[in-house]
Amino acid sequence: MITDTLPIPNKTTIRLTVVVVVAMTVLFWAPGKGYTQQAREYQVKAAFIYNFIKFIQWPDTAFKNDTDPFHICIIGNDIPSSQFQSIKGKKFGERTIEVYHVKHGEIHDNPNILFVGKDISIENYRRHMSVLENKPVLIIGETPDFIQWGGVINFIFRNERLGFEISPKAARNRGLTLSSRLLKLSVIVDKTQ
Amino acid sequence: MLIYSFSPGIVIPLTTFVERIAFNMRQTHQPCKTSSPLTIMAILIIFALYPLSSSYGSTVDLTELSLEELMNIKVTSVGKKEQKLSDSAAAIFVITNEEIRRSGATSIPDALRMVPGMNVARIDANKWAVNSRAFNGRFSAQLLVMIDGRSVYTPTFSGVYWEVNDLLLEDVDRIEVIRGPGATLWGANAVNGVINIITKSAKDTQGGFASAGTGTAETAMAGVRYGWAAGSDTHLRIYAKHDQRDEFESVSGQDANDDWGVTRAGFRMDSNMTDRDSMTLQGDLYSGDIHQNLYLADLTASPTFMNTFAVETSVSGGNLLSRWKRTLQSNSDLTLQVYYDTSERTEDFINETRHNIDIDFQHRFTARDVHDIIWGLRYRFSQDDFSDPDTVNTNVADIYPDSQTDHLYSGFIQDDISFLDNRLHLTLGTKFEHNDYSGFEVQPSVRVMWAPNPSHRLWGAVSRAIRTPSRGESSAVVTYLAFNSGAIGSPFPAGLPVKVDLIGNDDFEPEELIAYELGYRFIPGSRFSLDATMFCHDYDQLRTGRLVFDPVSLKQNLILENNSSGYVYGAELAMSYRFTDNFKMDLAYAFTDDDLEEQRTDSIVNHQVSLRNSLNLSQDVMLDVWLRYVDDIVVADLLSSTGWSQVDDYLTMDIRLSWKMMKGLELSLVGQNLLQDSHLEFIPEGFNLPVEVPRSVYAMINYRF
Repeated sequence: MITDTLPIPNKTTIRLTVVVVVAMTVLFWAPGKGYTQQAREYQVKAAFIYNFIKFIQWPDTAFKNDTDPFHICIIGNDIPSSQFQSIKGKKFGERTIEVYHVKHGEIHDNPNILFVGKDISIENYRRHMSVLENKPVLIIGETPDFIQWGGVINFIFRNERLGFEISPKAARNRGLTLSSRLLKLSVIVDKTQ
Repeated sequence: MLIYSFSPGIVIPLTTFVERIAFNMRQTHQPCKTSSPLTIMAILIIFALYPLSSSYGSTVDLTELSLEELMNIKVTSVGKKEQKLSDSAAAIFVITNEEIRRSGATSIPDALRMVPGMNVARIDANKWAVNSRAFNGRFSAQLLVMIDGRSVYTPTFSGVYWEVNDLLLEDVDRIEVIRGPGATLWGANAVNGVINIITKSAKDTQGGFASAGTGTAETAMAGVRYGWAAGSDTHLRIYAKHDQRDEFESVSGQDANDDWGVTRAGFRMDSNMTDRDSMTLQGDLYSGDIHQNLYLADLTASPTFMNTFAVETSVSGGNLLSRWKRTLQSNSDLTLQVYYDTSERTEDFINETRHNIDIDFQHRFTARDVHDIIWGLRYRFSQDDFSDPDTVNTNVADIYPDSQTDHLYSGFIQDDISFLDNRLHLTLGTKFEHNDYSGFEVQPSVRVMWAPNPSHRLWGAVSRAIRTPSRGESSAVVTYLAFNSGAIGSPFPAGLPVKVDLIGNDDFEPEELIAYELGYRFIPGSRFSLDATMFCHDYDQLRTGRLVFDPVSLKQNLILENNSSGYVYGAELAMSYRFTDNFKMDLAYAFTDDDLEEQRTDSIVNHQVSLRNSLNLSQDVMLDVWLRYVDDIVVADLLSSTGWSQVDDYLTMDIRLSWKMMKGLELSLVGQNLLQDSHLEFIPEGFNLPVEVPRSVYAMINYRF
C-alpha cells in the first residue's frame, strides 16, 4: 500500500545504481580464459566453405564458361558478411570467388553455393528454394534440422568447435560430386543410399 | 445533452480510469530532479566508450588451413539461439517493415489493426484506444508496450500515450505482438498482451533517407535519417521527424479542435566491440503541441454545470538506452540494459513530470543440450511530480502526495526443455516481483509446443499475470462530471450543481488473470500459412466504480473497487496466401465474447476482420487494398443516460498505390477510411466528446541515397 511517507531516495538510489552498474561492468569485463585462441565463427565458416570448393565437383552446366566466376550467395541478416572478406577474390584456376549477401528480396543470378543463415525460417527457405530446385547449387546451412529441409551440408557445433553434416543424397540430386575425404570428415546423415 | 442518472449502490461500468490528473499546489516541496539523469548518462557514455579500447585481431589466414585444422579451432558464436516465430508457444504475430510500409499506416496503432485480436480504435485526431482481446480504452491498462526494450507503459494511469510514442516507421524492423499474458518474461501489466516495437540495427540503416508528405488529415509529414559507419564494427544513425495532423470533426459536425504536431529526433549506435561483445546506445527527444476540447465539470456553468474547455497540451520527453551483450560461450550469453527515460506533460490544468531509470540483466545458457535457460533481474525507479501550478484551475483533479517515487524489483527464470529430438518443447517459467502498490507478486507460466512434423505446430499454455494498481487509481481524486440537482429528484431545489468525484483507493488490488490458450499453426510450404488460437481468460478483481449515493449531498463519490470477475473467451485466425509472386492476401479474423459477473461494458468486439491484398502491378508499381470490419461495441459513457453507449459496426477500406519512379525514389498515394465520409470508432469514458474519423488522402515521396 502507498504511504504518504515513502522516502524519495534520490541520491542513495543514484549512488546504488552507479555502484551496481560499475560493479557489473568490472565483473563482466574480465576477459575469459583462452580468449585469444578463439576465432570468429564466420571467418572459420568462410574458410570451411573455401575448403568445400576444393573437395566438391560441380557439373559443367553450373558455369557459363571456363572463366565464369564462382558465386557464393549468403542469405540471413545475422551473418556478418565482412567475415567472408578472406575468401572474396580467391582464385580456383580461372574462376574468381565472388560473395554476395542478399538481405532483402530474392536470390538473383545462379549461385554455385548458397549459405543459409540460422535466422532464415523454413518458410522463407522454401520460398527461396522454389527457384533453385534441383539446380547444381551447394546448399549450406547452420540450422539444427537443415539436412531435413533438403540442405547438402550443415554446420554443427561440437565442443565449441565446428563440424559439418552431409547428405550425399541431396548432393547427388543436385549433380554435385563429393570427394571421399570430405565424407570421411563429416557426419553422414542419410546413410541409406 | 443527456444527464446522467443513477440509483443507490449501482455499479458503474468503468473500463479505464483517470484521463487527466491534476494537482493542487498544497506543498512547495521541490524534489531533486537534475542530478540523476546526468549521472546515468555519464555512466552510459563510459559504458559505450570503454570497450572500444580493446579489440581482437586475427593474424592467421584461416583459408590456409585444412579442414582437419579448421575442425580443431575453438569458435565463438556471435548470435544467441533465436526462437523461430513458428516455434513459439504463444499467440504471436509479427508485422514486418514492409507490411507497415505497404499498409500506408502513419502511426504504430494504425499498423496494429492488421493483427488478429488486437482492438484498435481512433478516439480523435491525437488519441487511440488499443488493447488486445478485451477491455479496450484510451488507457488500456492490460497492454504492455515496449520500444527496443524500453517500457512506454505509464504508471500514472496504467496505459500508453500513443501520441508521443512514435518512430520513424522506415527504421522499424518489426513489431512483435503477443496476445495473452507475457508476464513471466516481461513482468506485470503484460496481461492481455505485449507489443515489442523493434527498430533496425544501425548497420541496416546505412545511407540517407528522406520522406515528405501531405494530405487532408496528415497536414505535413517529414522525416530524414542518415546512417554511417565508424570503422568496420561500429555503425550509427541519426534521424529527425515532424508530423502535423489536422483536426477531425465531432459527431455533431463541429470542428473537434484536436489538431496536433510532434517533432522528434534521435540516434542509435551499434557496435561489435569485440568478437563477443556488442553494444547498442540509442536515444530520442521529442516535443509537441496537442490540442483538444475537454468536457469538464464547471460549477459556474448553470444549468448543465458542464463546459467545454479548449486545452493545449505541451508534451516533451527523451530517453537514453544502452544495451550490452556478451557472448560467454557458444551456448551462453549475458545482456545488461540500462536506460533513463523522462517525460513531461503540461495540460493547462494538470502538469506531470516523470523520471524512470531501469536496469535489466539477463543471462541465457543451455545445459545438457536440452535445457535452454534464461534468468534475469530488474530494478525500476520511477519518480513523478505533479507540483507545477495549473494555469487553468478547474479543480478537476488532485493527486496525493504531489510527488512520489516508486521502486520495482523483479527477477525471473525460464527453462525451455526440448524432448523427442526437438519436436516437443516444455517451457516453465516464473516472475517474482515486488512493487510499492500491491507488494510481492508471482507470475508463472507453463507452455508446451509440439511439432509432429515441419508443417504442423500445436501449442498450449496456462499463465498468470497481474495488472498493478496505477498511481492514479490509488491516490487521485478526479471530478468526473457535474449535473443539475433537478435531474435526480434530490431534496435540493433544481439549479444547484451536483458533482461526481472519482475517488482513488489505496486498497485497490491488482487485477488478476489466469489465461488458458491453445494454438495451431499449419505451414505446408512457402505460399500458405495458417495460425489459429483459442483462448479463455479468467479474470479476477477487475476494476469497477461504485457510486456511493448520498441524497443529501451536492458531492457524490464514485469509489474504485475490484468487484468484477469472469471470463473473456474467443478465437483468432491469421491466414496468408501468396497466389502468385505478385499477389498476396492476408486475412485476420477474431471472435471474442465475455461472461463477466458484474455488468461491465468492456468494449468487446465480437467479430473483427482485416483483409489485406498486396498486388505488384509491375516491377515498380504496387497496389495495396486493405478492408477492415469492426463489429459494434458498447463502451462506458458517463455522459449518456444509461452509463454506456453503443458505437456502430463499420466497414472501411484503405488503398495505397506506390510507384518507384527511379532508383531510390518512390512516390505513394494513400486513401484511408474511404468507404464513408466519416465514422465513429470509440467514445471516450469522459472528458472528451465523441469525434469521428474522416475519410482522408495523402501523398508521400521517399528518397533513399
